[in-house]
Amino acid sequence: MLGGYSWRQTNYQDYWMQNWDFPTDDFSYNNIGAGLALARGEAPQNSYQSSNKLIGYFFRLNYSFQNKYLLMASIRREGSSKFGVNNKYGNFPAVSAGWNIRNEGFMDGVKGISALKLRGGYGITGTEPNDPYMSLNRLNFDTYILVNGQWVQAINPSTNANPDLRWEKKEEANIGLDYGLWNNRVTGSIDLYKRTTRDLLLDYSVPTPPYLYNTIRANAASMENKGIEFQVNVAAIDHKDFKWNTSVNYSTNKNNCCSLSDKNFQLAAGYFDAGTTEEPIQQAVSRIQIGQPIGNFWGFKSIDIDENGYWVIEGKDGNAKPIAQQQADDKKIIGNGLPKHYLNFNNTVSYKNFDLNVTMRGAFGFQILNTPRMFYAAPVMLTRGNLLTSAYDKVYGKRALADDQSLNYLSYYIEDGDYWKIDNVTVGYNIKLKNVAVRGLRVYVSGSNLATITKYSGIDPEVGVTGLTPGFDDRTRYPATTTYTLGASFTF
Amino acid sequence: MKRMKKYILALAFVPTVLGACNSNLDEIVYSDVTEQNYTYDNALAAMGIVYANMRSLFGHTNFYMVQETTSDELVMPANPSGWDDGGIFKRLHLHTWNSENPQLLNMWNVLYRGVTNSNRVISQLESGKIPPPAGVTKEALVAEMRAARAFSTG
Repeated sequence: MLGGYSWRQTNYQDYWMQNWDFPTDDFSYNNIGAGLALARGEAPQNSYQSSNKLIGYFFRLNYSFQNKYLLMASIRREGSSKFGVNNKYGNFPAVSAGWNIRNEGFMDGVKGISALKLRGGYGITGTEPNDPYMSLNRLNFDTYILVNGQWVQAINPSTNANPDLRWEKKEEANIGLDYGLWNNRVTGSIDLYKRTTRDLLLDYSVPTPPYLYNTIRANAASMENKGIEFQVNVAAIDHKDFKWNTSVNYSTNKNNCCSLSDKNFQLAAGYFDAGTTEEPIQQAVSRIQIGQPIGNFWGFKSIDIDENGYWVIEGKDGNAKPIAQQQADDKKIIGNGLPKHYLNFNNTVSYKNFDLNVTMRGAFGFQILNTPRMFYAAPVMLTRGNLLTSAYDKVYGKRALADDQSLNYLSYYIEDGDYWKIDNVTVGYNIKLKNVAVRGLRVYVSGSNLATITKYSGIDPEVGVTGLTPGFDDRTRYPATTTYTLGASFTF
Repeated sequence: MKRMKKYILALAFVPTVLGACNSNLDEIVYSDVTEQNYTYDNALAAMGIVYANMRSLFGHTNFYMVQETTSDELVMPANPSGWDDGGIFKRLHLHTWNSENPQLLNMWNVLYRGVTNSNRVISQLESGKIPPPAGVTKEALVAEMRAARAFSTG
C-alpha cells in the first residue's frame, strides 16, 4: 500500500541582451554596456518568465494471494495550473489484475506449459498542455496606432479565454496473456487493447462571432485506438557451442475519430483540416473527420494527363475533368499515413567465440505524401532552381508535364510506404586471455541503417507517424545516416 | 491490525501536512497581461485596436483582393516559377472561387473581429473599465466606436 502527495512548480526564466561595436573583444560578456549599438538604439534585449504548478495526490494498493492472484489498484488526483479556472483537477483511477494459471494445482501434471499468466487492466491517464496560460484571454501590445501624431501601442486581446480548459483523458483497457512453453524455450505474450482518448487538447477553429479569434485551445475531439500485439521469443537452437535466439514482434492498430464537439461548441462541419503543403501549393494536407481514422490525405485524385501536359482529375461525380476546373468538393481521401502493421524480427546467433546479431523491422499498410517529388519533379520549378532527374519523365506513360503546369497536391504523389529495414547487424568475436591484466577482449563490427527494402521512391519511407499529418515526407528532410562501427571492448 | 491503522492514519495526514505548500492553482502571469488583471489607463490605445486590425483588409488574402482581382483592375497570374498559391487568385479572376479561397473567410473574420472589439470597448467604456482621457466625454468615445462598428458591418 502506498499513498503520497506530489507538488511541482516550474518556473521558466529567460533573459538575453545584445550589443555590438565593442572597442575590444577582451570584455567578453562582462561589460555589455561598452558596445555602441545599445546607445544607437539598435541592440535588442528580451526577458520572459512563466510558471506553472502540478499537484498530485496518489494512492496505490498491491495485493498478491499465493502468487496466483495479483491485484493492483491506484488512484491519482491531479491538478495543474495550466487549466481553466473551472477544471483544475482530474481523477485518474487504474486497476489491474493478474491470474498466474501455472501456479494452480490443476496445472501440476501439465508438461510443456512452463508459464501461463492472464492479466487485464483498465486505467485513465491525463495529459496537460505544454504551455501555461492557454485558458486566459491575454492581451498583447504588438501593433501600433497613430494617435494625435504619435505612435501608440494598441491594447490587443490576442486569445480567446477558455475557463473550461481541462485534462485530456486517455482511457485504456487491455487484456493479455504471457506464456512459456517447454521449459521456457518458447516465451511470448499476446495483448489486446482499446484506448479511448477524450477531451483531446487541440487548437480548434471556432466561428467569429461569438469568438474574437477564429481558433481556441480547447478539449473537444475524442478518438479511439484498438489493437493487438504479439511477441514470441524462441531459443531455436540451444547447444553448448551453438545458440540461436529469435524473436518476432507484431502489432496492428486501428484508429477512428469518434467526435469533434464539446458541450460548449460544435465543429458544425464535422471535420477540420491539418498540415500545409506550403507555398506555392498552399493546401491543407490531411482531413480529420468524424468516423474516419487520423491521417487521411485529402486532395485531388489525379487520373490522367491530357495531350498538352496538364493534369486530369476525377471530379466529385466520378467523371474526368481538367485540373483548371478544380473545385473544393472534388477532393477525396487519397490515402492514409498511419501504418496498420508493424513487424520486428531480431536474431542472435552465437557459435563458439563468434556472435552475430541482426535486427530488422518494418511497417506496412500506409501511404506517404512524397513532397520532394511533388515540388521538384515538375518542369515549372526549373525557374527556381534544381529539379529531380525524374522531372521530365512521362506521366501516366504519356508525356512529361507541361512547362507551365503549376504544382498541385494530387494523388499522383501519394505512394505506398511499406518498408522492411535491416536496422542493425553486429558480428563479434570473443577472445579469452590468461595471465594478463586484460581478462577478456571482444572485437566487433557493427552497421546500422544498412538496407531498406521498399517501393517508395523518396529517400526514406520511415516518416513521422505521430500528430495529425502522419505520412508527410518533409521537403527539406535530412536523410538518415548509415553508420559502421569497428570496435573492441576489454574486460579487466 | 492496530499498527496498520496507525499507518493508515499517518498516511492520511501526509497530504494534509504537505498540502500546506501552496496548493493554489491560479495562474500567475509574468510576461503576459490578461483582461482580468489589466488596468486600462489609455482609452485611445484600447480603441486603437479596432482601427489597427482594419489594416489586414488590404492583404493578399482579404478584402483588397476580393475587390481588385475579381475586376479587371488587377490580375495575378502564376509567375514563371508556378507560384499561384493553389490557384486562389486565378479563381477570383475567373469568377470560379470556392470555399477554399481564403479571402472571403479572412474578410469575414477581420470585419467581425472589428464588430466584436467595438462591442467590447463600448461596454468597457460604459462600465467605466476604460476611463476616457481628460476633456473627452465617454459618450464621444462610444459614438466613435459605434461608427467603427458600422464600418465593419457595412
